[in-house]
Amino acid sequence: MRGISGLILAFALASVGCSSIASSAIATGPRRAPYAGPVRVVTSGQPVTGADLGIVEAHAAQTEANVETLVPVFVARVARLGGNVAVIDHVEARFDLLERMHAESYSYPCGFHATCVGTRWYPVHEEVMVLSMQGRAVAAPTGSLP
Amino acid sequence: MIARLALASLLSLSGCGYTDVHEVVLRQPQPRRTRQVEIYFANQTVPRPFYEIALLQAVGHGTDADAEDVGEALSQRAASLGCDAIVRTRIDQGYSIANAVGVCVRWAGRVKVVSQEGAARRGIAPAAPAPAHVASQPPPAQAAESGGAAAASRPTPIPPVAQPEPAQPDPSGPTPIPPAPSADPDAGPPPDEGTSL
Repeated sequence: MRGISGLILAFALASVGCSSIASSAIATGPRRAPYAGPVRVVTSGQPVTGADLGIVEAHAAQTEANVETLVPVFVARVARLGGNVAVIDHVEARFDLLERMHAESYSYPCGFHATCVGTRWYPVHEEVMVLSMQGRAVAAPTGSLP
Repeated sequence: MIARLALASLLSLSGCGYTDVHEVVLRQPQPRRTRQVEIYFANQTVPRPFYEIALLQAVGHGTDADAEDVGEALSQRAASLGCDAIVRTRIDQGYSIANAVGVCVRWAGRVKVVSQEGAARRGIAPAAPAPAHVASQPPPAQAAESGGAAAASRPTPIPPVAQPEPAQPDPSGPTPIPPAPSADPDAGPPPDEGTSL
């Protein structure tokens, strides 16, 4: 029974795939209930009047490392801290070289009129871009938004 | 080995590279700009008040993994969104990937430099310089808003950010005075409609 459920879990994970999107937040200000309303996004560095609730970070890699993917994740984190303004201070990319094993098939003559097929594995290095978005969650009084 | 070298040289000759452009639109895009989009890096002072239109990102791969290609991609996308400049631009360069991020903005006003002599000739009192980070235009109607569960847009005023004006030489007089903002027929107030994420 445990084997079957393990297989089901493995199949579910394999079918869903692993996402590289992750986010985190550190509360530095007053604790607030999660905010369910719309959250303003400020990216241009303009000052925002309000209480800083915390520091927020979101990151993703490879095809998910883009602003379209990260901004909604960032905004959701801000809302969970109770903020109604998401201030994006930095968007940075870093690059890592990851080693992975690559399989290559090959064929060769083996014997009279016979061809054999083999597989060899060798390491390849792949460059991975990780995009990180850092900023703050701010609770601004309604009407004082910049 | 020879085949691999031939393939690599063929790919390099054919220009094996591409650029992805991503954007998060924070305001209603404006009509396309025909003039050149200015680029300001993160540590540069922007000389004019502005309001943000979108957060842009360009990712160059292969032969496009350089600052020139990703910068050009950002500029083209900014122009198509009706932006005047890209501010807070940052370019990160990898081995085979380059990433550029910037905020696509539109000017909210125009700085006009008038000399004391010229102002006196025209009977204009010299204006005091605008302080940094003040709103110098009427507030726009709606900001880009995005939310979690509700995700409903709501009008929110956003005044443009005024940046300190640069000292510019005045052709009509030797003694420049602090510049005074004046209306720019080309740079209107921010649009009324925003876009929700």
